[in-house]
Amino acid sequence: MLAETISDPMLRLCQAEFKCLIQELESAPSRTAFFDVGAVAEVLVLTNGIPEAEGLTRMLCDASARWLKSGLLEDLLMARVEFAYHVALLTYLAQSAASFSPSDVEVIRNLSEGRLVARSEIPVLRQHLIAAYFSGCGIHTEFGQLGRRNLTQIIDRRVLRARSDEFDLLVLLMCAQLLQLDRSRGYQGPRTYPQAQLVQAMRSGNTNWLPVLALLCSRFFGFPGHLCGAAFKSMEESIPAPGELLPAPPGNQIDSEYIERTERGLRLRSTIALALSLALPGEAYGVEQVRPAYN
Amino acid sequence: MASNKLDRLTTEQIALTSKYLAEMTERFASPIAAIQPLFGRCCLATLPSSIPCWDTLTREVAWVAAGILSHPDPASLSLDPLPIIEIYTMVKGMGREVPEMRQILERVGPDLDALSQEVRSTGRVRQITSALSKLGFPNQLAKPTKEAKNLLREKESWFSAPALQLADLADHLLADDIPLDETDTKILSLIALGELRNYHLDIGCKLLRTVLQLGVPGEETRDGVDFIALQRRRDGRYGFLDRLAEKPEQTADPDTALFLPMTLNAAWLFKTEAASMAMSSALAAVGETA
Repeated sequence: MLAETISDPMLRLCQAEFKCLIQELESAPSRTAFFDVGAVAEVLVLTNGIPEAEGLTRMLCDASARWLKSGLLEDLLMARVEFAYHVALLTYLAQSAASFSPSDVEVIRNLSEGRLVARSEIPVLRQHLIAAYFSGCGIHTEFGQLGRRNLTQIIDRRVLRARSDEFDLLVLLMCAQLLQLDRSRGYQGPRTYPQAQLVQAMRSGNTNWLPVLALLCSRFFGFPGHLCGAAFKSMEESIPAPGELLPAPPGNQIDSEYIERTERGLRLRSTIALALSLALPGEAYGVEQVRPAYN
Repeated sequence: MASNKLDRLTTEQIALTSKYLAEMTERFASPIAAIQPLFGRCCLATLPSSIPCWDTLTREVAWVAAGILSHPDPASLSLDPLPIIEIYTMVKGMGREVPEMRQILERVGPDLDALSQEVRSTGRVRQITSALSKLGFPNQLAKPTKEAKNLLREKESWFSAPALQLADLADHLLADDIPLDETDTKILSLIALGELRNYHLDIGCKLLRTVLQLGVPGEETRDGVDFIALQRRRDGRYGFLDRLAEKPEQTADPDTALFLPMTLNAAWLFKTEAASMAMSSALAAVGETA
């Protein structure tokens, strides 16, 4: 009785609404529409075996297969890191559609194998760091098997990802802390990625990142002379007015819930790094080669 | 997957990308507009895994060249001579001659002579002049401008040079065949990586081609080529649309705005990388023999 009077009309309403949502995403893809579809998919994927949900699930699977075939899911996957989870879910559902072909996942497979998407190093780095710092206080934290990951390779491959935000710098800061805490574990720092970030900071005039990256490269990731001289020259040109801190990073947006960064902290940490660099270039870093090449 | 194990293109992938470029030629249906896609197909045809198709390509090159020659006012076409020179070089490298193409290149020399000294000193014109000379169309190569000389000398300034200046720098380097040492290669490759990460593909790819041609390609260079290789789509095109960005010009005609230029850049880059690797292998073989 309830099924006929309440449930059926409700499901028909949901089908009509969902059809509109699907059409909306197809005609004008937007962040909101995609997350709306994702929210529906999270429930429908759990309804296997419920006949009443079949219509909605079929609709979603067919739409997912169309989006996969047309390249929409690939575009979204490359557009924002936070879309990766829903793209993975929809790709999985697309396999149930009649029109699905295994070759439809070829590009997503390449992107994943090339470590271009869906790799979030922060949780791994964070667990390693928590365990390492607690261990230094005599607190032994059991996270289970973290695995012996090749952090160098994982982090260096970030260089293949377009765009960058504060997240990128945080990965390097965490990696450097790990290197400092426990060199005996045999971690090797990444090289290409931090140096590419440093060059990008110089070229884009990101005066906030520059001293931090210079500090990281000089102490942990390698700071060859050609980079060192240019970095110091750039830093000297970006000294803030007396009494001022360095500005915040331009376009400081963080597309993740893992961290919260506010302007004050970012300005302060970078000014500290700059002040150390300019005060005692060689001694502060303890690395001979860090001395500016133009001195 | 390690960066050096990323297969660039299989025979099937080359065929698919060539098909896309051929479709672009048909879409424009004009010999002049066909130059770019044809150039891309010629680049792909030089790759080791490609199926020989030089008879077809040579016929198409002749058709395009004839179209340019028969134009009532060729000067109004504002043709970029560089792709034409590159096409001619590739076709000639396969032991074929296209007299119509040769005729076009013979006309470029006097056009260059007519340019002002200032224009002839720019990297682009110097590179064209140099490339023509190598093909047997000798021309006076102007000296680079003072600013360009300074940039060539002061490598620290490369880090802050705007993209246009870097493009000019690359042209001068190529025009004069200036070898790049390991440090130069690293600097330019790191800059290229940064430009690619910002999706500034033209300058990123140009710098990579330059270091592949003149330098000692290393890890950073390979990463740059990997970046482009990973932009490949199922239908053979290259590039990912930012569907959420408010850029109507990109979505209005994604082929001309993104896919075609990116696919051409990819084809040109892979061709340059393959040639660089072949050269390294040949040099290594000579070293072993000696």
